[in-house]
Amino acid sequence: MTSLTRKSFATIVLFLAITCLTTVSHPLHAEVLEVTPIPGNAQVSVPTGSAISVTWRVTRRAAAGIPAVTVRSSSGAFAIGGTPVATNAILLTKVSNSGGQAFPVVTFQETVQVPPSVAFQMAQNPGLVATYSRSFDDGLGAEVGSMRLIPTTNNAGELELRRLDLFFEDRSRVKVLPSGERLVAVADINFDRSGIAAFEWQIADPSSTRGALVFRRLKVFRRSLAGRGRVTLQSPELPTTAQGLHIVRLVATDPEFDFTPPELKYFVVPRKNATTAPAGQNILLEGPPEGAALTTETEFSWQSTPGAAVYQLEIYPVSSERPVPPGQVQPIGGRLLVEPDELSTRPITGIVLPSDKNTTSLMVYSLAHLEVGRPYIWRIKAISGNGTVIGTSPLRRIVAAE
Amino acid sequence: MGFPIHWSDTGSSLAREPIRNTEARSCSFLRAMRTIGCAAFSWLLLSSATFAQDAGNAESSGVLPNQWTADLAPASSGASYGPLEELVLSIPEHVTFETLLQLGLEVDAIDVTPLLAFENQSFTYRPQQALAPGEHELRLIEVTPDGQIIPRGNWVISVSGEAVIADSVPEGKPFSLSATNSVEFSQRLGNRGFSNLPARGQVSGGGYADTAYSSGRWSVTGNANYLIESQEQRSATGRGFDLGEYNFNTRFDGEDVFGQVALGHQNLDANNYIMSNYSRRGLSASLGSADELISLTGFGFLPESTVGSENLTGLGDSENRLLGFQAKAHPVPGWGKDFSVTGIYYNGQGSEGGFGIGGESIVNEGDGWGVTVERFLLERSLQLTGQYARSNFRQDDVFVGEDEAQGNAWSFAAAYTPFQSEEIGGEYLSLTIGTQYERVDTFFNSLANASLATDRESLLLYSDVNWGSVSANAQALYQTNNVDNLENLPTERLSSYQFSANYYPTIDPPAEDETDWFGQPFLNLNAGTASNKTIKTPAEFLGTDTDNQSHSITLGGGSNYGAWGWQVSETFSGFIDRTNQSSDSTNYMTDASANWNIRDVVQLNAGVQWSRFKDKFFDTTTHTINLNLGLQAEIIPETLNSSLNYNLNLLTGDGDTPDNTIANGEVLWTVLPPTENNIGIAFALQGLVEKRDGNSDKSFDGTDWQAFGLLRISAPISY
Repeated sequence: MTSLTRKSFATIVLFLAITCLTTVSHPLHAEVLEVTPIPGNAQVSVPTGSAISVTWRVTRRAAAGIPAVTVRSSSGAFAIGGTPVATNAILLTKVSNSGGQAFPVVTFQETVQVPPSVAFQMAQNPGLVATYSRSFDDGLGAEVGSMRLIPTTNNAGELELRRLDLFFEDRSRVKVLPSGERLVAVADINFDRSGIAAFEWQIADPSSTRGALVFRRLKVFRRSLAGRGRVTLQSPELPTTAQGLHIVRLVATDPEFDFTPPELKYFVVPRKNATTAPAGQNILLEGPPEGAALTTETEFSWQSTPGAAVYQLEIYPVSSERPVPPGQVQPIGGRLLVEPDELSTRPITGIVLPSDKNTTSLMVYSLAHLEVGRPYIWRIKAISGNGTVIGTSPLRRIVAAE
Repeated sequence: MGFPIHWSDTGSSLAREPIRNTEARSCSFLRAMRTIGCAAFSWLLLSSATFAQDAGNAESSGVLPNQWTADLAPASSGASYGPLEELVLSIPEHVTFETLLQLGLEVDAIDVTPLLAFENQSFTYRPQQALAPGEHELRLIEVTPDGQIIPRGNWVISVSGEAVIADSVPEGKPFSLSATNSVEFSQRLGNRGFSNLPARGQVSGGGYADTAYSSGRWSVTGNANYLIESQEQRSATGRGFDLGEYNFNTRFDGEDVFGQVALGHQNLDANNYIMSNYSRRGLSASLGSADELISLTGFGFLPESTVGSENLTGLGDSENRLLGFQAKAHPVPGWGKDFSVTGIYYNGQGSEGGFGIGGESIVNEGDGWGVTVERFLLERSLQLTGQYARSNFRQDDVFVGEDEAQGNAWSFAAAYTPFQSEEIGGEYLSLTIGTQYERVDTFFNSLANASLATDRESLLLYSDVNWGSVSANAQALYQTNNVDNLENLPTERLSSYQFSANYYPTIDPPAEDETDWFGQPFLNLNAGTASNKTIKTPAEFLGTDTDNQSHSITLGGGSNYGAWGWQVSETFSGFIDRTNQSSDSTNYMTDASANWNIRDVVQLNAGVQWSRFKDKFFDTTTHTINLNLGLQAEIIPETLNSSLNYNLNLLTGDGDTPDNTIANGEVLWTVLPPTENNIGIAFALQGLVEKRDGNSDKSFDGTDWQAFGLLRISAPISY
């Protein structure tokens, strides 16, 4: 061994000794040592998917002279049988202060919606282990933690609202209508599991849609839901007095939707003082007003429709309760709705008039078909000479009276 | 030679006046005479003299004049009437003229008296719309001067065959167009606090148009709406000016067939496992027999809901379409519309979400078909329905195993109505009892019925009863899941019981000098309970069992009294999770509202909801109060109007959040009211104030406001 070699060897030994001593007493490098998911497993509804909540407990080694480091996880990964099947690209990041500890712990909480494709593959391959993993890195060292995903069709756990289909009563999603017209929004919601959900119908009036957007609450309510099913919620009558753009939405406050609630827009235009009404499917009603009492003295009036040979006034029952239609599980103690196309059945009573008449009242024998005190809905149909319905009016409520 | 009695106004007024007063009847009689004309008047006088003479003869012959009935002329074909065949009712000759004026005729409970013609001592009714094949009820009624209803004939007729289009051409213009447009130019006059303010000057507007055209057997209808919005984020599509929704419909009604083509937003009126509640943009074409005993509809839709002018037809993207057909038939001639078969098929790919829909799409590509069979028996008091459907779909982003799945859905339902408006105990009784069994596989999914709840096998029992002032509904549902018996997964049972009842008591009108304190009251009750429990757990299952119960009861009531009304309800809801996987909770909700219409110029409304929610696991209680007040006033009729809304939202108790108060209002001055083909001009002042109270956290406190002035120009167009 040459003198140079001996000197180099001594230098290396000294360096290693110093390094070892330094490492034991004052670590130079931060490093993630362990990642633990809490809980260790989570149930996932199959085959539709559901949300899972997890707290990641990240233990790292503190570095000397570096009191704080940033711990981050760029994404989460779903795997089935070890094969990656989907990625959750939500970044988790947090500054970790050692606080003088050698092994400080930092926690991250997240709620993740398991994609339907993952749930589908879990259901198709029940013999394979499904996992959700995250790799946490403090800049110098990384570690992976995994939680097991358990496929289930059961309804244990917190109530979840999965899907919202929002539309107006006639199934349209954009409306332009004259002031004073009746307008109602309907929400079809799919849910999993049971609980008491809280909702708010909210509206932004023209005094806010042309400036800073502010929603006021039209109605606040809760509804018991059970199992896996679908519930239909109807809004109170939406304001149509103020002209201009309105935005309506249904917001779930407990539990919240894990998606941005959709919004519907409607624009109220002035009611014209017309001598003739628009043809087509929009006969303008003049009276009686919504919810009026119906007697033989009640006068129905509407604006005439070009091309009409006769008008037909039709009165329909309001069937507030009825059997559960296919695919719908009724909310507990809730009221089922009249479907928007409920009027496909025959009217309970009514009258036919020639086209030169646009006012009428009902005879006592027509009212005999109705039950006093019960609400009904009515409309006008315009029928052409060849029997084609060329116009209909909006629906209005009326209450049969003595 | 006879004459047509157009009882639409004059005649029917004559008929209804006896229940009012004789003085009014005389006035109506004079109006009737003017309408009918001098010739008819002379004929009437002569006829009435004859009637009087005949009545006298009838009395002398021992036949009481008030015990007569009319005769319905038999169908021209002998067995059944044609859909547009005239119905002729012969009136005995001794019936007086005054009695004739008190008669009314109903077809399926619709008063057709205004369209009756009188000739040769007979009333003739010619249906304007073809009567559907099947049974129809005719009722001839006399209303006596004291308001009594005397039946003068009741017939159930059978209608069959093809509709023959009436020769008459509709009066008026064959083409019509109507549009209403409104544009607003607004300027923010002032503001404080709000951070997300757009530019001061804004343009906003909207309009809709309807058109109709008919020529012979052809008719075309169309409607569309649009929006103008200078704020991109406020517009429906991100464009300043854009189409909303539209529909054009062309129909041909021939002697033997009908045809129809519809473009735009439409609904196929399908309600089955494959397609339900499905309104989309696209194209459909239908062809069928004139009596609609058989029809076929082909369709192509955009799977996702949409508005705007992009993909105008809905069929612009070949990889984003739903194509298929629906066929309906009543294949047994003897059963008519008492037996129907409906089939549907689709094949498509795309998203099942879209405008107005939130949540992830499940299915993106697949096909499906289904058949529904419906049969009515026992004079339509028994309805039997069977349904089967099969879906195939491919799941995107699958890396492990098969990416395709199939599922079946089927059901059988029976509904029996032993009583339909039967008079029992002085009240009318209607009763329906029914049952439905259905099974929807775990992997059943249709692109056209995204909200269908799958993975369930259920039995439903229900009854509906209406008896006088009371109506009630009761139902029991038993449902299990994991119907595909997926390996290593548990099975649960949902048992649900519901009951609801409404009571609308008949209140006698108050005597003179008495005050009717209650108006027309109503009461309602809704109650239900549901339990969810694991009934089979595989040994190797790592998850938890289910054992929970929900219950709810609502009591409500109110009253309508002339120009005002009120209602109040109280709801209790509870949830118990015996496995402690989720929190037990209870909620009490009080809901009250009232409205008052003061001489049609001032409308007041108020409503409040008060919720008390308790989470038993975390031992927290949250109170929510939401108060709304509204006022609309017509200060100067058709010129100066105002409105004001006030909303207070308080959330107190555990988890307290800032309280929120919002008030907004408008004063509208109509300079020129809009009329047909004349513009309207109006000015308005609008404003909104929002006040936040963070309670203990003062950082949330603040009051923001904004005020606007605007010019509104509207232009109704009609042709």
